[in-house]
Amino acid sequence: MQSNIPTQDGYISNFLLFNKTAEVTQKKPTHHLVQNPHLINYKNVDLLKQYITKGRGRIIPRRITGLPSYIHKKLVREIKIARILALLPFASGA
Amino acid sequence: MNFYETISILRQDTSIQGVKTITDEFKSILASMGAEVVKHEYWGLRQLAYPINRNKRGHYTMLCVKASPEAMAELERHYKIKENVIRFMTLKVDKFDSGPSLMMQSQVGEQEAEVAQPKVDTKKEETKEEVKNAE
Repeated sequence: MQSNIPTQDGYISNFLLFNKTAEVTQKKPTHHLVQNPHLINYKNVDLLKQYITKGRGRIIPRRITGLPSYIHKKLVREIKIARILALLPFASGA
Repeated sequence: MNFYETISILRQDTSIQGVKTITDEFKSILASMGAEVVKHEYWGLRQLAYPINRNKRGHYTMLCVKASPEAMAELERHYKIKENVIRFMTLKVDKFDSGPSLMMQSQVGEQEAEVAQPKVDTKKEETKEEVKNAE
């Protein structure tokens, strides 16, 4: 395998072998809620509505939204406050 | 002294004048307990997400208060006595939002909303000016 790929003691480094180049390993952009956690507030009903299901009003789980745990916990708390104040619906029965 | 946001929902058949008198009562209760009302917001007659005591809509009022826990306990006791109050909540916060809250920004059309907001500002400005004059 004579090419211009740089080798280290005859082996190709994992970095190039698995194509971990800069374009591929680019980091995911951080979520806008991570940058602006102050937006998560029970008064921001329009934002909170994006994190409950449309039909039954259930809170969307973190494995689907992909948010960090501390942001999700904050969202859950504010959604529950908004529910008590009748700004958001409680999850309705089947 | 702590910072509190307290929200009360009044029955849908309360008149706007009635809402004013009731909130003034609550304010006077707070004043008698040595608390300071920093901000007063009326969010209007909002649609409730679910009916409360057969009410489909409610008058939302938020007070931002700098008060002792005892004063808030006294206010909540009065919330329970008043029959017009269908729901209330008091939250302890680290600091108040500067300027009108998100609720006020979302409802631009309703002009009845701004009730006591300017009064507080003018008072503060006056005191500042007095200080300047004294200097």
